[in-house]
Amino acid sequence: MRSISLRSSWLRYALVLAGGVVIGQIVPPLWTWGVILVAEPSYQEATYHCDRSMRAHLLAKQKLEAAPSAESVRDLEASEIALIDCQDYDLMRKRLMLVGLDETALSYMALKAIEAKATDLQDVIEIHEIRY
Amino acid sequence: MKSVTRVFLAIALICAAPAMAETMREAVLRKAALENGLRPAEESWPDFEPEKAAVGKLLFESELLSLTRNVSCRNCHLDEFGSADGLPLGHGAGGVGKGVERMKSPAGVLSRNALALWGRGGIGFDVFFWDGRVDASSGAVRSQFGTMAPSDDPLVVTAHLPPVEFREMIGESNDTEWLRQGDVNAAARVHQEIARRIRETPEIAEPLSEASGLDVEQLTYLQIAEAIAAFIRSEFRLRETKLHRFVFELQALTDQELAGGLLFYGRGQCAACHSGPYFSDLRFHAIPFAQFGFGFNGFGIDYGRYNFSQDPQDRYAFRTPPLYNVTKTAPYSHSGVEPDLAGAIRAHVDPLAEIDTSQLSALDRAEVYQKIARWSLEPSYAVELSDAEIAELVAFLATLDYDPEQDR
Repeated sequence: MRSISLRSSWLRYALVLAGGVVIGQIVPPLWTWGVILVAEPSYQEATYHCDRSMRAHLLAKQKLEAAPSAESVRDLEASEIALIDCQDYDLMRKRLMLVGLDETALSYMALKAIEAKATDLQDVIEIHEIRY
Repeated sequence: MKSVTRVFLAIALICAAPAMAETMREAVLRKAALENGLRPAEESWPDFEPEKAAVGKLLFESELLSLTRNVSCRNCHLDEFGSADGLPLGHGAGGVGKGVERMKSPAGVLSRNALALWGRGGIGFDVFFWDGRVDASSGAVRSQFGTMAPSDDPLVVTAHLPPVEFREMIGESNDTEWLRQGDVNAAARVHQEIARRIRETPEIAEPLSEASGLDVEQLTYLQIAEAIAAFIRSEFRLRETKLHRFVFELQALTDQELAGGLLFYGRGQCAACHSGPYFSDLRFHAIPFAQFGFGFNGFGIDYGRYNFSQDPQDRYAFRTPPLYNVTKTAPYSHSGVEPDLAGAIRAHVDPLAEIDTSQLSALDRAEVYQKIARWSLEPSYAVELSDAEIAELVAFLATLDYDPEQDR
């Protein structure tokens, strides 16, 4: 009787341990996917907004270099204000990392945003081909 | 116990400090507003003589200024419509009532939207009307009067024009047909007739005579125009707004207003034209608004500034409208085609969203192409704005509202 009870007790510990291992392996990815599911639309939007503002800022700088004028200085200043979009993007990244997403998960969401309009393989090639 | 309270108070203050501190967004918006010309309202206040302003109010509200005695300035510049008339196109001589009621009356319909009067005649406000037909930005007054401008004050010259405009303050009839020659002498005859009427109206003539330092018999239309200008400078001068309090007294804006402000000075490029103390550069820009009504040039066409400058580059360009109280002055654009402010903003950056080209004639579509070609030279050309961002801009523009003078 005693040995059965002992065995049963060990079995219980083993089951708890196994359960813990299983939960430990399953819950993190589930949590990650849950966060991705919730955060993806706003993260993708923030990614696009930052990208858009950086492009506009670059263009404004190039315009100022090519044709310096009061107007092109003002354009550059306006595009600098728009770079606040990138601060929003950075803050969102940090918040998502704090709740457990890693670079891979963030890159995954950003990539999906960048390729959102890639309707055929040619679009994907254009995004990914190495240009010399 | 006292010291414990003090300790808790200190901790509370330390904890609250980050919330009270100016955020980066607020600092950026304050700096941008100042750099783009926002000034305390008082700095725009012009000198004016209160006695002249008082009699100017009587003149502003008098139908004696209409040759056909059937409209006053006040009929189209009403408090409830933010000093405009709430209609797409001005409804002048012969009109009855206000708002939609006036549209249904036999009023002379103008080709353009009645402008609000906020800030007119303030310091540095020297370009008048949609097409800048009175322009003192060069230092000298340029107007339809040519070298015979009745005053070197552009607002006084401006006050000479509505009473000589057909449909605006002169009803069309056989009796007024002689005015169609449209020259300066015909205008002078109208002004003389109005001055004669005023001289014969003691309740206006006497205070005008006193304010002008002239005998009643010496009064001309010039003194009438000076009094109206003084009234406009008094009644419609700028007042402190929520944005002033945000910038100069460090009061808070809502998150939506703040976001709208950053768009206004940032990505929206609005301040490229809506800058300076009046939120207008007082220059001419082409926004491809749809055209409502018959148009200044007929056939639903309005070439705007070109009609006065004769410079082809000025086609479709209109003076940048100032933005104080803009939320109260719907409908918008030179022909009042946009019923709400959100639509007007959309038309600035994404005009095709506001135009159903399939419903247009070939002429109308050709006009759209011409306008878009001219618009492509503007700084706010094709800016991507979501509906939420446009709502933010509207919220920001509402911070430029203020109420008219109470003690009049």
